[in-house]
Amino acid sequence: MVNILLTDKCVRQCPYCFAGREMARSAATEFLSLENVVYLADFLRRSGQRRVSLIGGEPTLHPEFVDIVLYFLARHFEVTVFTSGILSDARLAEVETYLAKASPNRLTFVCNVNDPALTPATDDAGERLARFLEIAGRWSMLGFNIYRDDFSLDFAFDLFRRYDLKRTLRLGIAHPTASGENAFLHVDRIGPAIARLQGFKADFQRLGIAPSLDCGFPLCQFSDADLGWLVRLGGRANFTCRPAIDITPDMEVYACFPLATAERASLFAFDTLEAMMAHFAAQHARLRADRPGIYDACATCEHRARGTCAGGASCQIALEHRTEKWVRFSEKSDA
Amino acid sequence: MTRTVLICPDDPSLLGRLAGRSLGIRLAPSADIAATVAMVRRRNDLFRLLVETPLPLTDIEPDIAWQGLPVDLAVGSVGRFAALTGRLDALRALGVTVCLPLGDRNLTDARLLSSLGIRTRLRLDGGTAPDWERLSDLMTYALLGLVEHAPIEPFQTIADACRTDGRTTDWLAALFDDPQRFLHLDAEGRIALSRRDLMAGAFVGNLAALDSPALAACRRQRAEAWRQAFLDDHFCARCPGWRLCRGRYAAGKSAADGCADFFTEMADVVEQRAALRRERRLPW
Amino acid sequence: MVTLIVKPSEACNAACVYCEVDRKGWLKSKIMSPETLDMLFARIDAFLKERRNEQIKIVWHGGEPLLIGEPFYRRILAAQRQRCADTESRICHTVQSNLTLFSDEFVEVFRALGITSVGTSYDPVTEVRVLKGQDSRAYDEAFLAGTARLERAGFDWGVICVVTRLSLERPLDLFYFLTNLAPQGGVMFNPILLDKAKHQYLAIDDKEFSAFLGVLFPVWWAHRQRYPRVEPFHSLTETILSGGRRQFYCTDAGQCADTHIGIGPDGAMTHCGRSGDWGLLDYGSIHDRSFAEVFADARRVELRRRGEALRNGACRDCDYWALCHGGCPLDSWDATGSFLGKTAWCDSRGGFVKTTFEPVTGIKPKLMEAE
Repeated sequence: MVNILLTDKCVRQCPYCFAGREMARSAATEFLSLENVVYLADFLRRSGQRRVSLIGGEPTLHPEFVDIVLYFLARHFEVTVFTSGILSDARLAEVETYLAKASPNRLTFVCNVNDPALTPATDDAGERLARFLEIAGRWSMLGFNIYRDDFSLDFAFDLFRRYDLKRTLRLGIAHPTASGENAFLHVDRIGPAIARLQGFKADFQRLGIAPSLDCGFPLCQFSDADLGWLVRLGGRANFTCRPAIDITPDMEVYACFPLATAERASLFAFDTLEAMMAHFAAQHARLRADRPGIYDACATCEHRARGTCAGGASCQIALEHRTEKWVRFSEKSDA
Repeated sequence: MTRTVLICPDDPSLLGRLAGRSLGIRLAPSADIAATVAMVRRRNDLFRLLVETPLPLTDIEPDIAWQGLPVDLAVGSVGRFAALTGRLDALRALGVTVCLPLGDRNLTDARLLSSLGIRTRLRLDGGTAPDWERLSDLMTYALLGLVEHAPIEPFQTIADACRTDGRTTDWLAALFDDPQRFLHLDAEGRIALSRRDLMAGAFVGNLAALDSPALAACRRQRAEAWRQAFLDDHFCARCPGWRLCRGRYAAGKSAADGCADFFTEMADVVEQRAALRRERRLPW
Repeated sequence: MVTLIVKPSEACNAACVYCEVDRKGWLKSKIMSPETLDMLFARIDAFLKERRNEQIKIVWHGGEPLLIGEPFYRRILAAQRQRCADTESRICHTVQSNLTLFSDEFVEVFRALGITSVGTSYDPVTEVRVLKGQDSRAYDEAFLAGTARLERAGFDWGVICVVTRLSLERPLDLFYFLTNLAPQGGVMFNPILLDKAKHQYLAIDDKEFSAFLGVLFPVWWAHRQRYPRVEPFHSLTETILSGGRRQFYCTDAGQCADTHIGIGPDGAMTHCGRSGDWGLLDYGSIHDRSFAEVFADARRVELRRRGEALRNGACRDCDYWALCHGGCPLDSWDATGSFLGKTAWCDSRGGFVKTTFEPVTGIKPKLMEAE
């Protein structure tokens, strides 16, 4: 499923944001045009795709956000919107008015929430989020990005209790950007973070919430019991790391936000999504040529060999490469 | 010669004076379609119903009476797409062609509707100069789109009519404005050679003159008026895009106005489309 | 096929600046008499009866052949029906006219003569073509009205554009102007052929003409499906693609001694239309000699040997011999006073192919050797 950036503007400034640097640099086009929306729908249909993610920045800032959602639905796509849930009153009213008949089976909002205690937001963010979940709850699941290993999920469980939401909590590792300047989960903290996650098993179970793990989780950090727990709750785990394909408002593409600066191309350079995927898969392969995974053990790991685990995220490996090279260069200069 | 189509209002007294004709009927969305069609078909053939309104498409409720009839729905604009989505199925099922005036937003909306299987028609009749670059983008989409979509007129007709034997293409028929094929009547039966002439009150005769040699000469003269550009050695006569536009935008225009680039590019796109279709590389 | 270029009159309603009909210094202002017309078809009938597989194309030329009016063409039709009852199926007619006088009254008789297309010439360059006593705009108006009437009546027309010095600076303008008129008989660009001493401001040479074509050719080649009949490109390409086996024009085929006869208003026979205009190669009157006798004339025998002589002489080292066969013998006469030399327009054939055709198309002609 490709990610389409409707805009690079955002209403929040999350410390872990792996899109922030990208947001700052791409300013050629503020909002994706409707002409390009049609082009993308055609492009994806031609490639046999039936699902699409609308992201940002904050995608609901696009003046024609609901029109775009409805357009993709009218083209028979399943639409997932990644949002902060912080919408203006006018936009929220549009969501309420125009999306009322959209089926929750075909439209999902992944509402990315932060723990208000650890990641303070703007003054009225909580109220706006509450209003959004009140209105759009039936289409919404929650998403949470882990950028420190002392996180809590209590606030999220509280939201599940208060609103009638889809019973899935999407969990992502906050990955490093190319410069590593964002607050991200270092390789050596991934294990402790996953251990911390296990501490919330009972809450997941009690509330009937399925954990959905986003890309880059290393399989080796989960015991068989952990995996069984995931499956029993109807959860989903993604131990792989493949090009996600992010498309900017000015129709550039890259593998994913963290790798946005590495290799990007014009979408119009590709005839099909398959060709685009192959292009960025080759980029991943090059990144992993010297170091297959984030751990030394990845080199000989049977899960990696079988393809059931990627050995962590490519962006973590890319960051490590860059750091090493910089050090070596400094040493040479000193000499 | 192809039978003349008379485009006229749904005025009972006018329709009562016509027999054995092919008629395109202009009427408002609120008109009693069934009654009008019945009256037309009693003594004439129905060419098309031209339902006209300045309102946006979102304000028009598709009429079940349109079912099975050739309907062109001319609106002022589309309106907000979000407000239209509930009517898309009806518009598709009724086979309505949505006609739009030129304008940036309408170019965008023509593309949206086409991609959703709704036929559209743009009033590219030389009246208003469009944003040629955006029109070019839409034309490319219309003719070389990645996946199947509904036709956008007049591009589809131009592409289908464009010949490889060196002849030029006259596509005004796609806009019901070819004086050799269409005549426009007002409620009093006065005849104009084009829709613009009708609006401007430039009439060339009345019902009594309908089959007269004088009117035939008038129509022929208008149809052949393109030669004036050659006589005047107008820029258009030396333009590579002429073969598609026939100087439709000639009045007071120069090379800088963009139409030359548009029609020149369109000639290339039409050929590219033909080649791709020959090689079966267009998916539709 | 044998081509008869017949001038029923040398009178013209136009006064084009480069007209060469009077190069010989005198004009035959009279109209072809009924007796001469009758004799013309008698000769045609006899010739076709002698040669059972032969066909004759008659090009009604001038002067302006429509100036003599529609009744003359009815007489042509009558003479043909009377004299060629058994052979008329092997006769075809075309007309080379400036079209300024074409009116609906010609339609019926042209159709009866089997004419489907009319040849014309036109130059979208101000003051090159004028009607006598009027200006070039009057000519243009009459010409365009003529094309409109032709098309309305269902006839095709083709146009020759004579390239002069006045045209050299705007080749693409001329190209688009003429192709935009969409003549179904095609557009042909020919270099002006005239007395250079008299018309220095109009005359061009072969290199200039080649350069003119060189601007047009890439456009035509890129869009040759859009402009299918633009000459000399279409025929040149066909000739090259056939390896030189197919030839399209009298100037290039090297066979005019066996294919062309020019006939004036009084029945005087010459080699072709140009020789008639220039007062050269008089083969006597149609009233005195048959076509077979003309083709057997000693001067034609000599012209038949021209090809062999050129192939072994002036054109020996030319890679493009099969494209032009030394060109038109009258070009040679114009430049040297001899019919047996090669054309002075070499560069617009072989030179053009080398400098433009080959680089643009990527095709290296593989031409058959001369017979």
